[in-house]
Amino acid sequence: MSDQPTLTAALEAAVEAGDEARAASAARRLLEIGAAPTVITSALSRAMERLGERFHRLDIFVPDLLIAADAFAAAMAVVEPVLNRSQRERKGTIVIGVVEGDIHTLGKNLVRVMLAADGFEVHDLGRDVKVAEFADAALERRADIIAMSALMTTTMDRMGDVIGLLVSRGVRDRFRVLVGGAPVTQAYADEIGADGYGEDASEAVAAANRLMAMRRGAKTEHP
Amino acid sequence: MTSRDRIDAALRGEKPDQVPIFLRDLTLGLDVCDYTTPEVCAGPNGYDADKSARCVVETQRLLGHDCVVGAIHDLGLDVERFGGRVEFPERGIPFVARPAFASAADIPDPGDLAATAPGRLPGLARSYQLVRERIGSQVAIAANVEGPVTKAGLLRGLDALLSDMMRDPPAARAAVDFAVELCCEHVRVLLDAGADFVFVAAAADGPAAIRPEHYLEYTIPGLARIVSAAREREAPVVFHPHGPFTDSRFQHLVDAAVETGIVGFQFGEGNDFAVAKRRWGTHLCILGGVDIPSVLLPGPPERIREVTRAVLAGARVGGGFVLMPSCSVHRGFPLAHLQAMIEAARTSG
Repeated sequence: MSDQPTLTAALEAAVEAGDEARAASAARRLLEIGAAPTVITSALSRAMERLGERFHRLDIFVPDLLIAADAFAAAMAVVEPVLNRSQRERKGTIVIGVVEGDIHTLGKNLVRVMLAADGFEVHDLGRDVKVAEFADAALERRADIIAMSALMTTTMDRMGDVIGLLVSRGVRDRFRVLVGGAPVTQAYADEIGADGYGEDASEAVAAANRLMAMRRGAKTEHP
Repeated sequence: MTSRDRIDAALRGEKPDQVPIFLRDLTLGLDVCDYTTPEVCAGPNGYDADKSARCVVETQRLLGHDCVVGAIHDLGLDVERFGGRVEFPERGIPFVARPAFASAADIPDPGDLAATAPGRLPGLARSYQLVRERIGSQVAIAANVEGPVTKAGLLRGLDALLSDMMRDPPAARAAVDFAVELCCEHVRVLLDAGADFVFVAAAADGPAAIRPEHYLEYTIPGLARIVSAAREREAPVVFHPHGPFTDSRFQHLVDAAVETGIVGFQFGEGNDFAVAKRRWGTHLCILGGVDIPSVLLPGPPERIREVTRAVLAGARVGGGFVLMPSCSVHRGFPLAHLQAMIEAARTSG
């Protein structure tokens, strides 16, 4: 089992099965036979996309995504050192975190992995992230998107506070804001002035891509 | 009929004089009494039972619902009891900052529980006693107890527990087994303190978080033990896991819960109440009704009244129904929105 299509299929299967060892091994073998690193990242991306779709349909569940994320990370650890600068080019830069007062990281972690698999550069601010930390990190990282998650009705309003802070600092136009989490709805996202909403991890990725397309369009219109 | 009679009748599957209302307002009373969260849950003398009871009673007097939880909910009570850390935001709700069991090896043997200091549990139980004394016998009191995987997730960290379920099932079983022992302890203590029935709050027990096979392996046996502990006190049990249980792929999970002996099932967001009534309504009390994220939280009140009336039109038929928000209600929630739901229910005949 040493040809590229077979190894690529094995890599995708290993990620979907959440098998870290097999995923890392397949990635190593692909590099050994001379496959371009992007062959590996593309395979990882396809596997995570399929997982996202199956999760959305409730064919698989959170634990399946958790172990798949670990397998994805194991394979990425193999390929990351050999990616050259051009191959590292990302779709966009995202800072992501769980809002202040909330420590429910599960959904955020899944979104982070799915975004990374889809080609975004993702900076994870963690949980219980203060309002100003989102704005500071986005400015520091020159982020395209600020992604925020909340699992509680008592903390979701911090998302609006972040947007308010961006406005008061005069930097709202520099970032697209993406929100999600169990109590968050499209209506709520609209109410607080967010640019995008993801009902689950796969929809968050789709929304991030839409936001990047909007952003590129805006840059084209206003160079 | 008193409020307590209404709840009793609905849990028996009967039709009371009006649809009973249960808000499961776990921390809302902190706003009603204008207390900070730490002054009730983490004061200098630990859990402040007197202030907690005041919050519960004042909220019930203000809103007039038929059933209360007997204390301000202390999410991290057992987490700190076993070495974890809980944060108490001034105006937020308590959350676990560090789970109790960093590794599977830290999980104690369930047999050791009796020798462990009870932490804030006596304070919580004292609040139930005070609520019973102050609110009288006419209002029902629910003992709010976490479900098997939910409690284990709080103690171990949910990510770690779910990973254990996939990679180290013995570790996951040990965590859930210990958690269920704690749940049963809470059941006994809170029923002895005056609660009328047990409400098993199980956000992580269901296909919103775990695989269906894990639900059958971990949740159902744990739920059966909780039901058994409640039966020792002749108390009924209501179960509230999260997930789309009226979806045909997951209906067998409700059937499995029914077989443990629960009398009621609260369906959360994303469920079809017509399906629930049709499939289980003849032998199970159905609870729930008004969706929090899309209706009750955003409002406005007139829309809440419309949705409430629409829910009642179908779900009340034949009795065996308790009107609830789709999940628990916490501080920061607009009181006027809850009042709109209650008013619509009370005036719907």
